[in-house]
Amino acid sequence: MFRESELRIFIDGALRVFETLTSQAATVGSPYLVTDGKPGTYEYAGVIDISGIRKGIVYFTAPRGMLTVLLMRMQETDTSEENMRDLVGEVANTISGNARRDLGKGFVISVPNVVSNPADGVAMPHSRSFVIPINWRTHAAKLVVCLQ
Amino acid sequence: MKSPKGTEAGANRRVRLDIILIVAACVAFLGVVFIPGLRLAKSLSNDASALKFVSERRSYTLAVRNAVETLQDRLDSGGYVQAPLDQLRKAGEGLSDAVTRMSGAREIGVFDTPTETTALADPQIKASVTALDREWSAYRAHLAPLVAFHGIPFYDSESAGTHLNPEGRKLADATTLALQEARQAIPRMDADFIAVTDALEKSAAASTSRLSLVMLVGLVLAATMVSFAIMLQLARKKQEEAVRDAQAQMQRIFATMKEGLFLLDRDLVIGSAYSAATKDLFKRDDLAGLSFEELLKGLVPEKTLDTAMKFARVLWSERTKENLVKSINPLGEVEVRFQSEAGGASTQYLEFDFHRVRAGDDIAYLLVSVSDVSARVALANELKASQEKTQAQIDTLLNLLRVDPNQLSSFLGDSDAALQMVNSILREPAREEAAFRKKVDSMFRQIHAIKGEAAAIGLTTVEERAHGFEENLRALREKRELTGNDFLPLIVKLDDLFTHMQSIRELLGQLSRLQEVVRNTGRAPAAGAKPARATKPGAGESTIIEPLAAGADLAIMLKQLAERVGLENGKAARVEIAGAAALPNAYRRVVKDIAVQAVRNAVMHGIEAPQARRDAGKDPCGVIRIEVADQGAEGYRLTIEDDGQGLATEKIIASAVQKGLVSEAEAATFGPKQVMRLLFRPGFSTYEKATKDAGRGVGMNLIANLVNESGGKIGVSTSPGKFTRFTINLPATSAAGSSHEAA
Repeated sequence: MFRESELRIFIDGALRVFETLTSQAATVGSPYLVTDGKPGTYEYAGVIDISGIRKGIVYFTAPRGMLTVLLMRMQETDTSEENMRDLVGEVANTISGNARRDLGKGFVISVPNVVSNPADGVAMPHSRSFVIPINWRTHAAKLVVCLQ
Repeated sequence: MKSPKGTEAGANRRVRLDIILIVAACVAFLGVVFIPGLRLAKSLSNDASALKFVSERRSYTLAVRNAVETLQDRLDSGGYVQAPLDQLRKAGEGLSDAVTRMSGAREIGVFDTPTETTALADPQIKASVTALDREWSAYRAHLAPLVAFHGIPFYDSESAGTHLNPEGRKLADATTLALQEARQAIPRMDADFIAVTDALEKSAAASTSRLSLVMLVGLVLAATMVSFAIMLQLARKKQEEAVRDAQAQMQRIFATMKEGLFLLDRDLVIGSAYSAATKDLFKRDDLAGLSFEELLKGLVPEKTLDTAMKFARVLWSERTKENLVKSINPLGEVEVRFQSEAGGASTQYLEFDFHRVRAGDDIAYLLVSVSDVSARVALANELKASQEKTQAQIDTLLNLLRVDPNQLSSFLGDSDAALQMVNSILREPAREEAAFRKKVDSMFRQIHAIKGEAAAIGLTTVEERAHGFEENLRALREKRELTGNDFLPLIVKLDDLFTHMQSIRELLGQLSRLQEVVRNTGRAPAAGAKPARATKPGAGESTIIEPLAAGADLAIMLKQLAERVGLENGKAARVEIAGAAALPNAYRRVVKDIAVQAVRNAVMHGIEAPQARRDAGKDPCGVIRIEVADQGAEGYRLTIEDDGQGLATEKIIASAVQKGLVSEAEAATFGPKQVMRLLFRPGFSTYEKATKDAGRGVGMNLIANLVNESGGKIGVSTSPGKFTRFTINLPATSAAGSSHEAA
């Protein structure tokens, strides 16, 4: 059975990025399950592969609008594709780092892979995923955890 | 593997032995050949010098005699005497010098420079020299007048011619005497000289002979040494080949073996030789000279590292029993984490084993072998997980075997819809407190319904999970502020419920297949019977059952629920149901959910304990009557009545006030209808402590919601000590179905 503490490790990683980069905390929306294998993505997604005692993926996905405001908040006026991807990668990287530090025994965690505008979403290893909405100001991103 | 320390010690011993043998051979060569040879050669040289010296001086005796004879002749013939006198003087001086030097010969030290006469110091020769010296000294006295003569021994006159003068006559007399003495003395001196030369020749011959022997011995020794050197060289070459071969074998072993293998010295530093797998295991090449602590740093937690270092140091202590201390090896099976340069991380399980390597009695090294046991650990984990899953499946299966398959099938469909509904509720976006709180209430009703039905059909594995979910919801209800974070436990539990339901479906499928096999191999199927879906054990045997008539499954479920809740709460109750077959499909779920809550409420709150019922003159077993009546266009009337203690308005008011649902002042103004309405408020319960069957104030609220969502109405009538009756009017199905399905 999936443990809540494991879920929190990924969430804490995502929230920490917002707090650090913008000094404005993000909040967790109402989490839910997706059972059809299509948790959906926004324009950008940072994907982390997990293997070891649990296998699957974790990804953070955010819309262009949210990332633009985030960049502006960080005093970054260059809202190019590259910067968008870097920002999503940074969030995924922090989530990955948190997981490496806290998950403990038996987990193998990859470096993040950033995808933009995935036509068919992100390939999910299982049909059921946990979706945790991340709300920041008026924007919404989400963290998808799909592990065995 | 042979101890390197032992090999080294053996090699050192052999080198020491070689050196000793070489030194011994050199000393022997010096002692037996070189020094004696040198001395003999020196002696030989001395003899030759002396022989030459003596031989050369020996002629002086003849020269002296000749000079004397010549002098005699000249004196007789009046010839010129000065020449023989000079000859005599010269020969005499030469002989005197020779005798003096021969007499003065003495033995010299090893490092003194020899003279021509050194060999004459030999005692045997010395006697002859002494004799010679004596002879010469005696004879020289006769020569003294001759040597001392100066002048002319003649006088010339024309008349008398040449005649000896007085000095001449004296000279002639002395010469005559000297010549007479010479006849005796000269042969003696010659004999002395011959004795000396003979002795010298003998000595030289002896020296030559000895030198030849020494040379022969030297030759033999040299040949022996050369043979020995060749043998030594061959042995060394063979040994080097053996060492090279051993090293090559060791390298091949090191390159082939899958285990990491290396030595630790007393400072716990890794040696220069290690197996190739060691590099792969630790993902680094700089192992030689690396400290063990540095090797493990970052791979294992600080605490484990600290313990491991203490453990390794303890192994160096002779007082520690190796086998005993091995049982507390902190690296027996340790998880190591590798960070890649790219930022990734991986985990492996390594098994370290330590062995003492001794050189003689001392501990020389610690031999460390390291194996990657990740596969073994993963297999053990998988086995454990598989065992747990199997056990859980067996538990579920045993649970399923007690459940009516028709009820189970109906329950699975309903509960799946309810869980999907819960997930839909969660999925609704929410940021505000009110939105989260509304979700809690909505989910409560769904989960409570699942729990109620699971309890009713005796599916405890689901009931317990639903109960856990409900506990979480209850905690959220009491929480002052709600955020999405608080909902994380819910989705984990929801995931678990989904998974569990799925496993139940899979088990049912397996049971169904098993049943098919039983049908095909054993019993003949009943005529016209439809394929059955599961087995139902009863009194220790399994029977194949058929689908029940409409409404019969509800009756069975409610009766079981009443029995179970009664049994668990020390009460006895039975359900009597009538008209269930009249229910349209659209109301089956609603009525079932209502009836489940109502029956549970009736047993928990209405029916008294058996003794109390006896005291009140009632049957110890309470009765709950459920009746469904089709009222045509008016819809359906559901009546649920128990013959329990009835409702006490004071108790209802007191509980509502205590739970903060109404104020005391407000309650004082309530009429009977308003009091009854309190029963349906969320969170109302007369139970102080919540159990899985009562106390959360959810059941009646769920009934009210179901009735409202169906567009129906509910009424309550009660008589203290006699009964409580709920009358629910549901509209005709065309008006109700859509409303409920949407809920």
